[in-house]
Amino acid sequence: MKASDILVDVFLASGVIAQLIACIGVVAFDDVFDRLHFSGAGATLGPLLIGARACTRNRHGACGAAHRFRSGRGDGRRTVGEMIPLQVVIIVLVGAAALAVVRQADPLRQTLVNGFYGLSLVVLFVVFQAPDVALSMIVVGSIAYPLILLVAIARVRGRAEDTTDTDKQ
Amino acid sequence: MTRQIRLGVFTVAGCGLAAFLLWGLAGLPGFGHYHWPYGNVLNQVAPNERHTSNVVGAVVFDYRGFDTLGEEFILFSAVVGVSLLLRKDREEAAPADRVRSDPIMATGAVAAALLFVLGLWVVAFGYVTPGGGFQGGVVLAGAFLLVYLTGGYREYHALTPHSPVEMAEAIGAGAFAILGFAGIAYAGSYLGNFLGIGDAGSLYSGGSIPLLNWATAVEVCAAMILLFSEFLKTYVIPTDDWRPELGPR
Amino acid sequence: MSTILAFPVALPLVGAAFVALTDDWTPKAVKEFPAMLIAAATVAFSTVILVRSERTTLVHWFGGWHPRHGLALGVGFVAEPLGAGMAVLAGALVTASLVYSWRYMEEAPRLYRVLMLVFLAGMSGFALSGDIFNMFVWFELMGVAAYALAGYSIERLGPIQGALNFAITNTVAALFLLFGTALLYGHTGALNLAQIGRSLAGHHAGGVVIVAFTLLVAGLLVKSAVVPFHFWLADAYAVSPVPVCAVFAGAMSEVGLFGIARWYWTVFSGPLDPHAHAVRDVLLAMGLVTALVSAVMAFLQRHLKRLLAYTVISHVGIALCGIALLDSKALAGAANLVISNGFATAGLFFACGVLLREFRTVDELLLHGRGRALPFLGVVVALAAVALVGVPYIGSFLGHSTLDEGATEHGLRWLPPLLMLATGISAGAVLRAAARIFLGWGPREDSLLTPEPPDEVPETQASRPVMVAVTAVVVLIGIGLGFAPGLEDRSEHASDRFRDRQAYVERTLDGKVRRYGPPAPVVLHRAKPSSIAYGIGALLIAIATAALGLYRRRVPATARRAGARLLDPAVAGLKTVHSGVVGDYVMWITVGTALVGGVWALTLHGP
Repeated sequence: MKASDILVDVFLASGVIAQLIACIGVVAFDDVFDRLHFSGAGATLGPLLIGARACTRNRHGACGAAHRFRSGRGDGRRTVGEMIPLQVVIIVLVGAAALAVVRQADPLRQTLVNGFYGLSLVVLFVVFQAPDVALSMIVVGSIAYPLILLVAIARVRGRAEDTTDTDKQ
Repeated sequence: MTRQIRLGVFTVAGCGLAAFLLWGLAGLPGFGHYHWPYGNVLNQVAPNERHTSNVVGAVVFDYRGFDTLGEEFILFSAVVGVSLLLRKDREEAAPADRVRSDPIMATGAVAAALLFVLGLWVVAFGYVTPGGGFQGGVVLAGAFLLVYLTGGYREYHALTPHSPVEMAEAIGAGAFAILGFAGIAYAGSYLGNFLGIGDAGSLYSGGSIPLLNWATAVEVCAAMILLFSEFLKTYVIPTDDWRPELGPR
Repeated sequence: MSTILAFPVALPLVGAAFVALTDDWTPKAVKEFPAMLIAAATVAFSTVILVRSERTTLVHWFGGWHPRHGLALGVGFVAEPLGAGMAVLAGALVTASLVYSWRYMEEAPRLYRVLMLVFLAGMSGFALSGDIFNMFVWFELMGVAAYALAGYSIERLGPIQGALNFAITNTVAALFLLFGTALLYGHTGALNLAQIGRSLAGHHAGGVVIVAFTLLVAGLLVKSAVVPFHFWLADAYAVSPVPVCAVFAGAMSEVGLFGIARWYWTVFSGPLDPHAHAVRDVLLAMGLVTALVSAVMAFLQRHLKRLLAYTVISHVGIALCGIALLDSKALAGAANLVISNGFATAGLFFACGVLLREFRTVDELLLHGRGRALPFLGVVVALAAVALVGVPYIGSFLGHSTLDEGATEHGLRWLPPLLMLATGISAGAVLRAAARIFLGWGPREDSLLTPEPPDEVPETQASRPVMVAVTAVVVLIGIGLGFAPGLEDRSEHASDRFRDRQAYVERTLDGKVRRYGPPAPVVLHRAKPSSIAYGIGALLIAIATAALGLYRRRVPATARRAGARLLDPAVAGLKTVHSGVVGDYVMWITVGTALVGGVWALTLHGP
């Protein structure tokens, strides 16, 4: 076993663990700001470590695929693979995050959890070697969608408060 | 029908449906067993006949470019639909956020500029490396949003005047469809490639893919900005004496 | 040149972008014309495709990616007469509706026109596409435009709920379609319909195929509103603007049915044909229940748009029966029914719009006798009702008689009388409303009918002559199709081709062109005596239903009480089930899909 292989495993394991802790944290804490810490960690630390793993071992990464292809090895032969542990973990993580989104009743918190769910999907796409889809997911899942939701929720809440105010009067 | 009955029936039916779906999934080939020619043939054809090194980009804008036309118009009509449905909410006003901080604004300006350049890069190299018009378009729109987040509504509004953005959206969407007609005129098929295929791995490659790519980027960026503007307008139209038509002081 | 196939989709899309871009600068006098012209041009292109496709199936590969060694690389459109006819129907109704709504929309007319054009592109694309994912894209485009159009009158609570119910249920449907598509792709590695059909043919139907088939069919059954997936439709139609309703009723539901037929015969008929009876029984049962239940529901409404919505569902049920027989004659009957009922129902919705403009309500009881001021409209409405009944040689009769013949050939002699009953009841509801409104017959109160919150109608500058003229033209087209000479043979011939998977696959993937002979010589449609009897029977049932609705009080009290004791629980049950709560609707969709899937899992499996 080469040193780079060990490094790869270390990156992988620590990235996944970081991601899991972040996921649990987002679900477990009640306060929005507490959760933000964890979703922040989930957004940065986990993907960074896993990305580092992908860069270190680029034989199976996206760049690896392009390389294989240029050298003319992508010639329609059957490619048989098996699921690596990381892929299993990330699928479970996505499932857990999706469940967390559904279980959250408060829309504002749901938006935060949903952002985290989006990020876990990003990692999933990277792990399954679909960088284009991962890019789309980063921008849509963690910029566009949560912001629209936040503005809409703010709007609805503002209106609800308005009506309760008038009710009180 | 009470909530309990509904949930009960749904649970039973949902479990049945889940079992049924699992039965179907069980019949699929095992993980990683891709033994069909489609993907491999595309991997062969795209670099050789279109000189695109990002096959996904070639699939999105060339092989299945017609799907992309439809998807682009889904976004287009979603934005049109949002402005149709939110048209009533304009008059009501809520107080704007008055918290201002110069360091945040300065950081925001730098970050927005960086993000904008990143967006341009993601778009431009869409058919060379992972990326493309859709992703890059949203990143570009994100740069404008950063202006709102760090600066405020006035700055955002001054940067994204409504009617030019609206025009850009229509032009971007229309351009994709019209490029298709150019394909009919010069290549004999809708969305056909009518330009030289260039050098693989450079920006001059892919035939008409770059044009379609940029049309998508313009449409997506404008659509995202319009979408935010529509929602923001209903939320944060400032209440003080400043009015959007006058622009920033 | 096959490039013409791109036009019915690309032209309205370019047009939508063009209208969005230039509408603000266009002089007010001509603002409405670009959209109308683009829609009309789209119809022209679709018609040319229809005419050409009668001689040979047209195929166009986008981007010039022709199949290589029988492997489809890109996205292709495949036009045969039924698909092209669907595109023509959608285009004609959108055009009529844009002309009708001349100065009708007071608010955001620009966005309305843009969405109508996009909606048209979605429907045409769905009808012509030969690629399952591409069809999903057009399905979604159709949906997005339709949700926004349904919620047009957003300031009131009703439209928000109606549009939300519509959007949520149809998004569940889209999810089903996507899941089914993914399963098929995982199983066959192809997205092209012909390619999937070829690789499935010659194998037994396994779990993947059955699940994919169930999900795809269930998704489209939601779109076309078949019991128990139909609940959203009445809510959405009751609140949509009238011109939008006309297009929804005449084309959108039918597009869903078309999709079921397309997918069955091009994709699934290979593995499922040995078990065709199972497919037939399930679809036939659903179609029949739909036709009868919604005919009764139509009878129970006093809100005209909701009443018409239920007649639409009833017609969808009848057409589904035609498809379910899995036979050319019945399929031709279904196609003819879709066209003539589509035009007639669209005309009835247009008539609602005129009433709404004049009297600011579409409540049958409130309108009692007030329609006497509009005798011409009354005549048009009565004609449309007659067209729906299928009186011999008028309107939907052609479709009904061909369907009946198909059913009789299969030995299903009990089917035509039941369909006659459904047609009679739903058309009777329309006749009752027409008699009450335009003749002032019957009482002003009826506790049986479901009350509805009052409509708040915005002021409109629309011109009544234009609205009435469009209504009349659309109804006349619906009626005239019954007489059209040669249509019966042509539609049957087209259905034969539609069901020929071999020819479709070879044309699409191998480029093997087959020429079809010139259409059969024009002969007048000769119906069988039994069909004529069913037509007259339906008319009698319709008149009896209308009379019962109007003059129930003249029935002897003992008979009335006995009838009430018998029927009241059923009526109350029906009304409770149609609750208007979207959670219930999604529950029903889940129940329906699970049941259909369960039945098919047991019956379609194995050799």
